[in-house]
Parts: sequence; C-alpha cells; structure tokens
Amino acid sequence: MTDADDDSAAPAPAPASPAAEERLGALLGLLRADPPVATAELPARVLRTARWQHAVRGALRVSGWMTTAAADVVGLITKGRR
Amino acid sequence: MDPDRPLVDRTLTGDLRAFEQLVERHRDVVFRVAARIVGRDGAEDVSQDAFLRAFHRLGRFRGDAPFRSWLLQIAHHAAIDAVNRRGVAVEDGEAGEEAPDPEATRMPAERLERRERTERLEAKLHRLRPPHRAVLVLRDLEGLTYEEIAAATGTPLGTVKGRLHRARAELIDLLRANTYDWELPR
Repeated sequence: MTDADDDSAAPAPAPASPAAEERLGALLGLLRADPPVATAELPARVLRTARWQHAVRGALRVSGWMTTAAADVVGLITKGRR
Repeated sequence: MDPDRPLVDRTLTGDLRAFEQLVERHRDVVFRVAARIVGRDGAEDVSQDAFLRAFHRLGRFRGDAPFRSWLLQIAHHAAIDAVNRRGVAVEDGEAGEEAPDPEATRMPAERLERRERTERLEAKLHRLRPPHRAVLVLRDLEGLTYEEIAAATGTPLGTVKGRLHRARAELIDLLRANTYDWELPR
C-alpha cells in the first residue's frame, strides 16, 4: 500500500468545526494524562537480547575473517603449484 | 549538542552499559508511541524490536537530527510493521467496553469514570487507519513538530498535515457515532 493509496482510499471526512477540534484536544488530554507505561523489565529484556545478538554477530564476523583468510591461503598455495 | 551523542558513541565502541542508559532514557516515549499505534498488548514486543533495530543500525546514525527523533522514526516503522503483520487492527471499542473489570469495583467513582472514558477513547483511536493514527499520536499526544513527524514517518510535510487533519476529523466522526456522549459541538 502506498501513501497515495492510503490517503485516497476513503472519502475525506467533513471538516470539523474549530469548536469540535478544541473539544477533541481536551479529550485527547485524557490520554496524555494516563499514558501507557512500559514494564520495569523492558530494558533488561532489550539488553539481554542485544548482548547475545552482539556476541553472535561478533562470532560470525570472526568466522567470516577466518574463512576469508583460509580461502586466501588455499588460493596462494594452488597458485604456487601452477 | 544532542545529550544522547556521548552514549551513542560509547555504544558504538561496544559499551553495552551506555546502550542500557539510552534504553532507560527513552523507553517511556518509545513504549507510549508503540502502545498508541499497536495497542498495549503488543507494545512491549514492538518497543523491544525498535530498540534492537536501533542497536544494530547505530553505526548509520549520522546525528543530523537528535537521537530521540531517529529512535522515534525506528519505533514508528516497527509499530507500523507490526500492525501490517497482523492485519490492520481495528479494535471496535463497543464490545470491549462491556467487559467487566474486576479491579473496577475497588475504584472511586470519579477515577472509574475517567478510566472508562480513557479506554473508550483509546478504542476509538485504534479504529483510525494506522498511518493517520500514527500522525495524530505523534502530534497530539507526543507533541512532536510537523517536521519531526515528517522525518519519523518518512512522509512529506504536506502529507503529514493532511493526515493529521483527516485523523482529527475521522476521530470526531467516530466519537459522534458513539452512544457515549463526548459533548462534541457541531
């Protein structure tokens, strides 16, 4: 779905009066006054996952270097034999 | 200078304690935006997803805009992706409003009424299409500027203003169609 599709898919609602918009603003104040709150565990969860993903990425990077280095060595050996 | 920049730089050197501080500093705003877009149930997972995306893309953060704006852009995309994955979530509040809440019986009447109105309003908000809902949340609930919203949603400024205008008008229509009296003047 593109932005254009999204905005043209439905007919435009009738414009709201300034008084209605003002009242809506006051009603939305109810939501601002009662915000959803994350659990205390969220940062710990994020950090736990970030840690192991960081470790896996590091390990993959090292194994990538080793594979590249091994391939280079094999390439040099086979080149030397030719 | 962006107050988050030193923590970003330390995180890039592998200091995960610095990243933890970034998460602590911004978890509330990320969670609020996620909850307003996907609903409270999925907000924790979306928030985690957003922070992890930010962690892995931190090397691409150029610092042209504050870290908070960059993070909100990621949170917005993570929330919209979550909504798209499970189909456009249209929670009709009318049915949910009928559900009895065991906690409610222990609340003072005034607080109970305020909570009920908040829940009804949230349900109506969730009936807006996600891109419109996101703009309304970022502007009217989080107080971002039009420019910040344009950056966070990756849409032109004109589209942001158009969506906000439509979102407000649609929400007013939805509230007027409700049996509950929201005292909205014509």
